[in-house]
Amino acid sequence: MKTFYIIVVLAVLAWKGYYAWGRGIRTYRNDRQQHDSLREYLLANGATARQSVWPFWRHALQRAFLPMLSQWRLWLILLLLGLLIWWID
Amino acid sequence: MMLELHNVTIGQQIKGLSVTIGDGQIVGIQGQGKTTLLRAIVGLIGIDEGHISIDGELLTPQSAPYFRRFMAYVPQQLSLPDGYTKVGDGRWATMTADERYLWLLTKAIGSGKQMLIADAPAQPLGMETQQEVDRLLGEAAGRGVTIVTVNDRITQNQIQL
Repeated sequence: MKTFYIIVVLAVLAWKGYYAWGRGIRTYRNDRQQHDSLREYLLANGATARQSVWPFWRHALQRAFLPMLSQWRLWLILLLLGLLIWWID
Repeated sequence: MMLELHNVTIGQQIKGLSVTIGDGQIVGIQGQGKTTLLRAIVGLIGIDEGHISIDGELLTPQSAPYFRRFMAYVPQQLSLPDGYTKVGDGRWATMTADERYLWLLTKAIGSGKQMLIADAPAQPLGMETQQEVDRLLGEAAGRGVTIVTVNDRITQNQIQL
């Protein structure tokens, strides 16, 4: 039962992570295509190459992981359920 | 800062342009290829022939990041991803084109850099904004900032492309 539960939780986490990563990459790619003028603006005003793409990374990370974090109640319930199963077993 | 363009050729639009812009000088650009020329001066694009130098040092892809620390750039247009609030103080989405341009110009001048490269927005500015832009540019030039801008109201020093 414990092993099954762990496999299920890991599978859900892997799927969520994969989905979030894909969403982040799509956001980064779209932002770079549509708002590359921001990168040029930052670069032309003295930012380094890394600093000039940071807003795009930040936005991509936010779009990728904030929806997951907003579902923290669900993860808390899963965790409590896991602990309960562990205790009963 | 002294900006020198020597025999600069970029694509089909700019051919063999040579000009020297001294400290505190304000120069306007007119004609085809304005934005291209300004982007080349800040090192965002390369040039096909000739060279650009700043204070006697050659502008190259390697040296451009160094020179950009002394330059402020106002682009022709700027679009921001959702949630980016560092430009426009969080009001970018609700600002008019004139307000956006004035914000960028004010920020560029306020940065205290020694050279200002200011493009003009794609849409013509309103009369009041034009006057404000000219006032800001005049003040900056008075403080010794070298200015290259797209502005047909500058009558004395015009580069016709």
